[in-house]
Order: sequence, then structure tokens, then C-alpha cells
Amino acid sequence: MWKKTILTLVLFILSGVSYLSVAQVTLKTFTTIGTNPIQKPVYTNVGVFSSARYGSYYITYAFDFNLMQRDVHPFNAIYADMGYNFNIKAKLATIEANFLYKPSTALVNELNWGAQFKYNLRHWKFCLGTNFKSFRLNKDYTNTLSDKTVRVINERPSMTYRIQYFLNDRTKDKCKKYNLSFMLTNMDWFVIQQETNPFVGTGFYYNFQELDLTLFTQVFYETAGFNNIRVNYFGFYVKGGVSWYLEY
Amino acid sequence: MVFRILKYLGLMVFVAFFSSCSTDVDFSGFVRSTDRVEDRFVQSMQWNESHPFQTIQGGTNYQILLAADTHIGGTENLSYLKKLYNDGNYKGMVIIGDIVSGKEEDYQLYIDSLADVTKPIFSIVGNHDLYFEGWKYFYKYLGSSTYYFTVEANNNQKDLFICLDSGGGTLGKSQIDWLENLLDEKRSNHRHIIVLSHVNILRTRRTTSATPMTEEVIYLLDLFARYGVDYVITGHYHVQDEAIFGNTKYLILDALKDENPDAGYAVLNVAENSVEHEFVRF
Repeated sequence: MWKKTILTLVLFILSGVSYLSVAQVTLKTFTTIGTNPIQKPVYTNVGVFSSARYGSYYITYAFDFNLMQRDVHPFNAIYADMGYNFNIKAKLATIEANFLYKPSTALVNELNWGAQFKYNLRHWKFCLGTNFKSFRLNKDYTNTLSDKTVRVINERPSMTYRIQYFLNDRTKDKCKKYNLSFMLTNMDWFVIQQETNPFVGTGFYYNFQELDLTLFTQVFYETAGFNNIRVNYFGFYVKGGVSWYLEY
Repeated sequence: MVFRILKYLGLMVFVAFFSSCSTDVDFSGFVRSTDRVEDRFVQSMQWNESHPFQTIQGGTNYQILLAADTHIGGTENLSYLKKLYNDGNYKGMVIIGDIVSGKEEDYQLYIDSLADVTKPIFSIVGNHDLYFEGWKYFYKYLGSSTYYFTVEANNNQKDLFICLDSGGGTLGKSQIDWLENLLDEKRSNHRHIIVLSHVNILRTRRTTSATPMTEEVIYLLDLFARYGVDYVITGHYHVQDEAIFGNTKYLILDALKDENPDAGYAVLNVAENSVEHEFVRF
């Protein structure tokens, strides 16, 4: 655990130093509070996102920490992506590769690799991609197995998607102080569900334009069994945080 | 552009909805459930209080017959399985969900079809069993959806078979607590543990049907690895599959329903130091 923490810190510092040489950086920090049948009665996480853009390229890394089980399970997830921005009909499009690792329990961790295409309109944001998810048993448990190949199980590739509608125009020169969004998706920061498990969310954003600062809050409602045509409440979570855009 | 996308999305939903219109599917389940897994669990526990968990005498080595997705209407394949069960030396038979399409007449047909079986039959609820307010009929005719049964082997050894309700795509908080407490209490004095539930836990095949949310999948994988569960056996996907994660085998059974060209069942062979399965197709 200590080795992982030190490695994380080193990477964090190195990438922070490298960011000084690039033009634009976005920092994001937020708290997530939620409940579901597994993480009971509630879970509380703190996430930090750091994204650097150089020309049309960008790279992001992020960490999520568990506040409720700090003694047994302090580190919740690590996320990274890199992408390329370009225009289609004068609207921003992005292709992106991403990675998500979650040491979810003492025995089992989750690994995700994926690629996505994103397209932005004034009021809409579309995202479509694919994700490769695998579950792995930890090293100690694996050492007890006679056949080590059974420590990993790979799920079939799954589609990732997000359809998001913004109430106000997001074009920079027309951007209002606040915005409201509604979305249908199967992924979020630090969460990638299977394609058959969509969930809905809404977000409120308030811009301090002179500071390039945005306060945001989002609420997500999750159901299970949608594609079995038998929905059941699963859980919900609320996120609140701040996003800060820096231009050197 | 946006209008065009919305138009196509709307058209797709329309086509999907009406082209697959069937009297066996309750489309209201996309947006609401007339029952909740938590409510079903409470009722199941009430049932369990007045109907003690069953114990079967197995012997050191014994066989259990397993089938899933009968989707009655048709009962031809079920009748074949019944004959096999009656004539063979199987100690128990488990039907792992999607027995009917939720309608009372189909539940009655299922009960009538198996009326002359004298050995124990265990029925597990699936998502189709809950359509058209089907839970009230499942409860009326078959009882609890969360329970276990024990098979006693020789030399004071016994095996635990845990039957779970995943018909709503999630086990729900109360059932998860019940499962963990049960494993904690029973694991040390049982030889083998077998978990039976309708909805697949792992998504090892491309499928349009839902597995539980990722958080629940990971929790269950951890739980089954931690307590050394031997087998997790499900139906739902209709095509046989098997995967191994740690010391636990995850099986998906062929659908038994009459219309399935690859209809089949499975036999669980339980022995002193091993549990093995055998898929059989008609």
C-alpha cells in the first residue's frame, strides 16, 4: 500500500512540474456522497482531477479517496485519459483513450481500458465509446491458487455512452453565469457501468467568469435491471465541487 | 442536426417497442416495478418463518438436476425433465428462474405439470416471473424467493445450497446482508457451498440482458472468493457458459424452454472432495 501511495505522489509531483511548461490547465476537486446496497449506509469520497492541454492534445489524471473507510480502504480509484480535439462542422469533437483502476475490495480490483468519441453542440454533448473491463484477485489470494490464470476474468467489451443536454448555450461568448444539464449515461468520473445499466443525472453549474472558476453540483439516480425490463432502485449519489481553469 | 438525432432516436425507440410487442413481456418494467426486491425479501423471510428450510439426505456422492428459463407456456421439455427426475437417482431439482412470464395461468400450469413429482423441487424467481405483477403469484404458488436447503452427506458432512432473488437485477441491501450473515455462520460447518440465482453475475458473453451494477458484481466476487463458494449457477442468458474466478465456478445454463433449439439442463455431481457439472442438451 505504501509503495503505491509513494508512486502516486511521485507521479503527481512530476506531472505537476511538467504542467508548468504547458499552456492551459484545469484543476477540479469534488466530494461525492452516495448510497447503494453495497457501500452502506453511505459512502463519501473526495476526488481530484488535473487536466493539461497543449494545442489540440490533452492529458488528464485523477484520484479518488475514500473518506468513510480510511483505515481499510483509503484509495478508491485512479483515472487517466489522453485525447485529441478537432472540429467537425465548427463544433468541438474529441477522441480519447482512458484508463480506470479501482482497488474495490481487499480481494478484488477492477481495471478498465476504453476509447471514446465526444461531440459538442451548443446545448448538447454526446459521447460514445467502448470499454474493456476486467476483475482481478489480489496477489495474496492468487498465491493460494494452483492455477494462476483464474485470477483474472475479462468481461466482454461494453459500450459507453452519455447524452447530455444543457439548458443554456455553452459557447464561450454566449455563456451565462449558470447552467443546468440533464444526462443519460452509463459512466461518470470513477464509475463505468455495463452498457445495460444506464443511469440518469442532473447538474447545476455556476461560473465566476472573471476568475475562470466554476462551482458545480450533480445528482445521479441509479437503477438495476433496466434491460431485464424489471427496474429496481439501486442507489443515488450527489457530487459537489469546483473546477478552475488556468491559462499561463 | 439535433432535431435529426432526436428524430432517429425516437424512431428507434418506437420500432424497438412495437416490433417486439409480445404478450409475454411487460414493458412497464422499463420504468417501474410493482414490487421491490426489499419487499420481496421481507415477505420471503415471513414465509421462511413458517416453512422451515429443507434438508435432503444425499449420501456421500449424489446428483442434483438443474434447469432454467422454462418460460412456460410449453411444457414438453419440462415434462421430459420431470420424467428424468422421477426415474433417476437425483436427490433434488432446481429451476433457476424465468419459469413463466408472470401470468397466473402459467404458474398454475407449472404447478400442475410437476404435481406428480414426489421428490423436492426448488424454484427460483427470475425477471420474467415478476412481469404482470407476477410476484404475488410466485409467492402464492411457490413461496419464498430467498432461502436455502441442505443436503446431508455421510459422516456428518453437509452441503449448503443458497437460492437468491435477483429478478430485479439487484439482490438489494437486506438480501445481501442475509447472504453474508449466512455464509459467515454456515461456511465452516458445510462441505460445499453452491449459490443459485437467476441473473448472471459475470458478463463473459455479449448480451442485451442486464447483469448487476459493477459495485454489486465486485462485492459478490469478493464474497464468494472469501467464503470459498464452489459454484454460482445462473440462467437468464439462455446459452450455456462457464467461467472460473479464483476457486469459484460460474455457470450459465441453457434455457429449457420448448422453442430453444439448443434447450438443455445440467447435472451437478457432488462428491467427497469435489463438485462437478455436466451440461446436457436435448
